[in-house]
Amino acid sequence: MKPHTLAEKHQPQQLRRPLFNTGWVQFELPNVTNLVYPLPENMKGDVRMRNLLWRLQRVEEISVESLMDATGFFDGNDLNQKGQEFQSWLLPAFHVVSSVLEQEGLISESMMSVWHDFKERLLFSMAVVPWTPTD
Amino acid sequence: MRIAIPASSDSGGNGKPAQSGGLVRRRTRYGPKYYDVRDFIDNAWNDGSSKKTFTLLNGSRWEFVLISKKHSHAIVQATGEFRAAGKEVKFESTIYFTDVPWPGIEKVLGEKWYSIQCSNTRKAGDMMEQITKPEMLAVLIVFGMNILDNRWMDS
Repeated sequence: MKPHTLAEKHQPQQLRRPLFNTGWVQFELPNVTNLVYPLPENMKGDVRMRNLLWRLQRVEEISVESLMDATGFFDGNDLNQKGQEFQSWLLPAFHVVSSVLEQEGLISESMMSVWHDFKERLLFSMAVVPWTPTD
Repeated sequence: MRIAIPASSDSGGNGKPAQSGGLVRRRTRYGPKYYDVRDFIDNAWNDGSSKKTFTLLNGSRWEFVLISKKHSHAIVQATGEFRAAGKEVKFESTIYFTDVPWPGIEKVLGEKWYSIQCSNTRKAGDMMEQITKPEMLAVLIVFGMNILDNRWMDS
C-alpha cells in the first residue's frame, strides 16, 4: 500500500454532515416520561430518547439504512428486545419528539429527505406489522 | 399562528422547497407538505381529483378518498394494504380534519376530539392509539403534516 505523503496527511478532511443542527443538545426535549402517558419510573423514557438521538447523530455515513442500524432496535428485519420495549412504551413519544425537532429547525436541511424516509421506515416498522388490523 | 399559503404555491418538486410569491411550500416524496389542518382544508384536493393513491417505503399501498370538504372540516376515507409474513393486512378508517367545530361533531368524534382524528379509535381520546394508528401515520407522512398540530379540542 502506498504510504501517505505529508501533503496527503494534511489534506483537509471532508466535513461530516451531521443529522441534527448545532444546538440540538441544548434543546430541552419535552418531558418524554409524561409526554404521552405516565411511564414506569425505571423506564427512564427521557434518557432512552436522548440516547437514541445521540446514536443517530453519531452516524458517519448517513442513510436510511445506517440510521435504522444505529437505533439498535432490529436484528435483521425483526424487532429485538430493545426495539420491542421502545415500541411498547416510547414510539408515540418518538413521533412527538421528532415533530418538535422538525418544527424547531433542528434537523439539518441537507438531511431532511433522509430524515423523513428514516422516520417513515422506523414508525411503520414498529407500528404496522405487529398491530391488529381493522376488523 | 396561521400560515397563509396560496394553492398555486403547490408547484415545486423533488423534495425541494417551491417558491411562490415569497412563500415556501415544501414537498415530501409524496407531494406538497401541509402545515396544519387549515392549510390542508384550504389547499389539498384542489386539483379536482377525489382519490389519491400512494405506495410507502415499506410497500404498503394507501388510498385516500375525499368524502367531503367544507370550510370547517374535511372527511377522508383511508384504506391501506400491507403484506407481512405472507399475510395481507388491511386498514380502513374515516379520518376527520377539523379546524372549526361543526354541527354534530360530538356524536362522531366524542366530546373531546383531535383536529385530526380517526373514526374507529377504540378508546376516545387515547393519544397513544391516535398517534400510532397506521392510518394516522400514513396520512401524516403522505401529506407531510406535523403530529404537533394534532391538538386537543373541546366542543
